Amino acid sequence: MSLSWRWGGAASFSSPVQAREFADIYTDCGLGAMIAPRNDAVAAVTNVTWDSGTTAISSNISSPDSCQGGLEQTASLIYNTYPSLEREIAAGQGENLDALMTLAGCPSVDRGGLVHALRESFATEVGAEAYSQRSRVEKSGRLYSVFHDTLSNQPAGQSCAVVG
Amino acid sequence: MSRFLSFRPLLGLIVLLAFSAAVGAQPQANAGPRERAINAALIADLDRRPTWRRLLHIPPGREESEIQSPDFFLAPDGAHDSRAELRATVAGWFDTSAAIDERPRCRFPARYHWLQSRLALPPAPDGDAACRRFERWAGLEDFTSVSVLMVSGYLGNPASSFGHSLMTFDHGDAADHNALLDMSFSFGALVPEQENMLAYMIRGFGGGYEAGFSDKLYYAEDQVYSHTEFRDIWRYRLDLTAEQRYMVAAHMYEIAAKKFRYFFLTKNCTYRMAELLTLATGHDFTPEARLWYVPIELFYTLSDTRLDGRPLVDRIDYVPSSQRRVYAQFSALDGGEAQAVNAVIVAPDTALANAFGAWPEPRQQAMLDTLLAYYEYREAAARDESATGLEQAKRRALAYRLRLPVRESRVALPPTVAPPSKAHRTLLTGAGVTASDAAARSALYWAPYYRDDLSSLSPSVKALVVGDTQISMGNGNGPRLDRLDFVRLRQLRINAADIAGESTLSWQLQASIDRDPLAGDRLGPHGAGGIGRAWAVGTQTVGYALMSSTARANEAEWVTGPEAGMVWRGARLKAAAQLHYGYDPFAGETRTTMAARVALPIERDLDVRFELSSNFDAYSAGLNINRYW
Repeated sequence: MSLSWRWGGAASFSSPVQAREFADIYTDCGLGAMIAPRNDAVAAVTNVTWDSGTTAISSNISSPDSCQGGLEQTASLIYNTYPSLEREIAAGQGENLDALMTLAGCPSVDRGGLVHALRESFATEVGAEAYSQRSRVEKSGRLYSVFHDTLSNQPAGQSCAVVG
Repeated sequence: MSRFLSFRPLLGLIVLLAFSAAVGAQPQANAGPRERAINAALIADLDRRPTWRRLLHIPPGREESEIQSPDFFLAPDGAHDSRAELRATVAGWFDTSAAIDERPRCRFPARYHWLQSRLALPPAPDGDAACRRFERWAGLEDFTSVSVLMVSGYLGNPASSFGHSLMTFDHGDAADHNALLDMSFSFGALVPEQENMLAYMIRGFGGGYEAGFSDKLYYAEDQVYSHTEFRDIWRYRLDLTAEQRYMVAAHMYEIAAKKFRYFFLTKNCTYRMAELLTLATGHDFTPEARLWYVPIELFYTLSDTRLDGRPLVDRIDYVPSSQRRVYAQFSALDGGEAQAVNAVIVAPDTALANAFGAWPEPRQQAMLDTLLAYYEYREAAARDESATGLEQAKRRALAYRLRLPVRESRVALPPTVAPPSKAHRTLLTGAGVTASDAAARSALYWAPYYRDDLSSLSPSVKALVVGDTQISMGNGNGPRLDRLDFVRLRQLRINAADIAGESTLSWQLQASIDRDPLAGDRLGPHGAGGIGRAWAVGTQTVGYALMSSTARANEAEWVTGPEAGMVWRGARLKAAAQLHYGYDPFAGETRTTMAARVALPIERDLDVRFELSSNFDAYSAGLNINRYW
C-alpha cells in the first residue's frame, strides 16, 4: 500500500494485524497529545481552558514520532469527532468523513467505493443493541478497526492507504 | 622583593583577564567566524532593533521579556538582557552539541531567519541540515496561507462574551483543502479545574494565570466552538507573502509551548495574535494603550489594512455553528416532513419505518439526516451523550439511515451571516442634544463596548453594551451624569426552524444608574429584565413580545407587564420601537411607556441617532452623532 499522510512517519502496514491498536494509541499517546501531534513540547500546554470551557486531556507523550503517524492521526480524528463522524458515515458525506478519507490518502475520485464499504461495516456495528451502551472510547476503537479493515480489503487498484 | 615576587603570578593572571576582556569586546582580525559574527551583531546593536525585541517579547519601554519559560532564552539572563540573548543566539548558530532538531538554529527558526537578513552569517557548521521537526510541524511543503478566525461571543462563559480569536495554517490548494486538517492555534490561560468564579475574575483581570498557545488540528477546535458551544466563526484569510508566512510559522514554533501571563482585558488571545502578525509583516497591529482589547478590534484592523497596495484580507469565509446547520436542515424540509421528524423527536420509540416509510427515498434520506443532526446537537447541548436518553433512538436512526443509499445532494446550509467587522467598531464616542418637557441640554456619550440591537448583524438580534455613559450640561447647570448602563444585554432569538421542544426564548437584561426624565429626574439605580418570544417578520424585521419588568429605587417604582416591539435593520436605515404596558403595585396604578430609536449610518464607523421616549404625559428626546473607534 502507498503511504500518504504528509506528516507521517516512515513505516507502513499492509494488514490490520500490523496496525497499531487503538487502545495502544489511546494509552501511549494520550488524546491530549493526539490533538497536538506535531510538537511534543506543545503537548505540555494542553489544559488551556480559557474560552473553550473545556479541559484538554493531559499528554503523556514520550516520543513524538510514535504519535505522529497516519494511524495515530486517524485514531485522533475518529475519537475527537466521533459524534459528527457517525452521522456523516450514515449519510455518506460530510467534512469530517472527508478529513478521514484525506488522512487515509484517498483521492476524491476513489472515495465512493470506500465509503460504501465503510457504511456496510458500520451498519453491522450500529445494528447491535449494545452499540448505544458503549463508551465513546469503545465506539472509537471499534470504528478505527472497522475503518482500517475496510482499507485493507479494498479491491486491487484502489489507492487509499495510511502511513503507519 | 620576595613578597612582590609571590604576587607576580596573581598579577599576571589579572592582566591576562583584563586583556582578554578588552580584546573580546573588539572586532578581531584573527577571530574565528563565531566571534566575528557575535561582534558584528553587537556592533550593529541588533539588540535594540524593534524586531529583535518583538522576537523576545519585550514590550516597548521595558527591558524584560513577557515570556516566563526559561527555555525560551539561550543566555542565563536572557529574559532581561536582550544583548546577552543576542550574543548567545548568534553563538548558538555554531552549536552542534545536540541533535539537529534540538540545536538553537532549529529551536528558534524565526530568530535566525531575521539574523541572516541582518548579518552575513557563515554556513552553519552542520551544513545547514534541515530542521525536520519544525518543517514537519509547520507543514512548510504546502503551507499556502494563514487565516485568523473570529469566534462569535459566547454568553455561557463571561470570559468569552466578546468572542475569541484563533489562527490556522492552511495547507494545500483550494480544491482539496480540508480546513479541519489545518493546524490551529489558540492562546488561552491555564486555569485550574473547579476554579471558582470570583477567583477566575480576579486572577483573569489581574494577570494571575499563566497562559500559552495550544496547537491542535482544527477539527478539535471545531468540535468545541461549532459543535459544543454553537458559535459562529468567520475565517479571515490573509494575503501574506511566503516570507511573511514563514515568519508567522517560525515564530509560532518558538513560542507555542512557552508561558506568558494572561490579562483578560489587554494581553489576551487577540493581543498575542496581533503581536505575531506585527512581527511577520512589520505593520503594527498591536493596539495603542487602551483599557481593553476585544477580539473584534483585530478584525477591523485586518479588514482595513493594505500591505504593499493589496488588501491584507483576501477572503472571509463563514463557518456556521452546528445549531444553525440543524436549523437549516429542518427549514429545508416541507411541512409534512418536518412534522414527521418532530413526531419522532417527541416520541423517540416510534418505529422509523412507520414514520418515514411513506416518503420517497430521497426525502427519507433528508429527514433521517436532519434527525441525526438534531440528535448530535442535543447531545452536545447536554454536554453528555448519555444525559439525553436518546442513545437507542439515535442507534435506530443510524441503522435505518445506513440501509438507505448515500444521498446525491448536499445537505442544506444556512445563509451566510455577515462578519462582525462589517458593523461599526465597538468603542463609542458621541455628542448631541437632549430635550424633555423640563429643559434642553447638550450631551456627550461614551461606551467602551457598544454593539446594540441596531448594529447586530446576526439574523437573531444579539446586543451587548457595556459602560454606556451619558453626561449632559445646560439649562444653567454644569455637567451631570445622566446615565451609566453598566451592562445591557438583549437576545431576540427568531424561530429559525420549528423543532419540537427547541427553546426559542428571548430575553433582555439591564443594570444601570440613571435619571428618568419622565419621572423625578433624580439619579438612582435602575434594573430591568424581560423574557418572551421573537419572530422574523420578513427578512429585515424582528418582532418580539416579552413579559418585562423595570425597577427604579429612587422613585420606588416597579412596573411589570407585557412589552411588544420590533427591530428593523434596513440596508441604510435602522430603527427600533417598543411599547410597554405595566402595573406598579407600589403606586397601585398602571403605566404605559413607548420608545423609538432610529440610526442612520453615514459610514461604517459614523452614524446619527435619534431617540424618543414618552409616557404619554411627558416626553424625552435626543439627537446625537456617534463615532466608533
